[in-house]
Amino acid sequence: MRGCPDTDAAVAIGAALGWDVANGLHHLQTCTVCRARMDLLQRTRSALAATAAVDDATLARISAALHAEADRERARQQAGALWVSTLEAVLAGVAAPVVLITSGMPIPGAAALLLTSGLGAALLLAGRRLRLHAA
Amino acid sequence: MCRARPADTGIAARRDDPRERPLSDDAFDLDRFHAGDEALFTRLVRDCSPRLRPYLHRYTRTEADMQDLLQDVWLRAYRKRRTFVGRGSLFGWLLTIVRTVGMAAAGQHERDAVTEELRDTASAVDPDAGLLRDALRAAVVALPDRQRDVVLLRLVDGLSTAETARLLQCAEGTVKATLHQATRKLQELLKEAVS
Repeated sequence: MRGCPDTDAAVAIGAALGWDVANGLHHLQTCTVCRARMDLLQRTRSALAATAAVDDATLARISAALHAEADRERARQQAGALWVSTLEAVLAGVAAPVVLITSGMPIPGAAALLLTSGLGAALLLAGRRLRLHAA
Repeated sequence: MCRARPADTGIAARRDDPRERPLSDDAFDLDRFHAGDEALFTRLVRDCSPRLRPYLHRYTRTEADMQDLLQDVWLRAYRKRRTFVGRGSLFGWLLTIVRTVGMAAAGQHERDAVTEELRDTASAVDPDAGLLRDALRAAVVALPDRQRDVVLLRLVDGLSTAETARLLQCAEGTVKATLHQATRKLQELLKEAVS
């Protein structure tokens, strides 16, 4: 036996037994159902709390693999963001002349339309890239 | 961070020691976890791998296989990190990943044999003890998620009923009932395993 449980443990036991300590402890020691349950809980806890050493080389290898996975994830996110910004630029390039046409203003020449679209798309794309780099 | 509590020598004193707090403690930064913080994951790998290793025995035959499987478990945990929403035991969540990855590695058939190389140290003294511990671990992993979390949080992490209820966001009565159901389920699973 280890020795006397400390006061904190004694309070926990007493509270758990509803402060009917003598009868409660006697029951736990004599009831076959309760003893089997306590035995199961103790063995379960022992099994779950067991540990087995893992060498430093394995831990380092795992950490390196996670680092590589994190790098791949970041690369995928940046590629995805670039696709989104490109799509937005194309839409902006299309939206600009549509707005001009539907506004009732005199329809500009084809060259002016192309210039407007291209300028709108380029500005949006440049702005996105600057934000990405800043981030 | 993922360390099971040692024998009870004063619950209050241990809770003040950050090294002894279970991973389910409120101090665990879920945002950092979801963000894939590498420092956090390095610490998790270091602290949790010794506890995960005994669960890998049933899926592997050699030490090299065990190391590969452990790495696969952590890679999957990293990729699926956002599926852990903080309401439960992180170690219990890791065990579900162990089961998924282990079953895939072992094919459709679970491997019951434990090789000499990986034999539980307890079985060096009592051969049946190692098999019983393996059976108990398998039984806990097979429990429904809520029951498994309650067993881990109450029995291993040492959380009180109130603390467990707060973490799982349920009533204390639910925790008690769930623990009772889990214990009965473990007895049934263990009887099946032994027979």
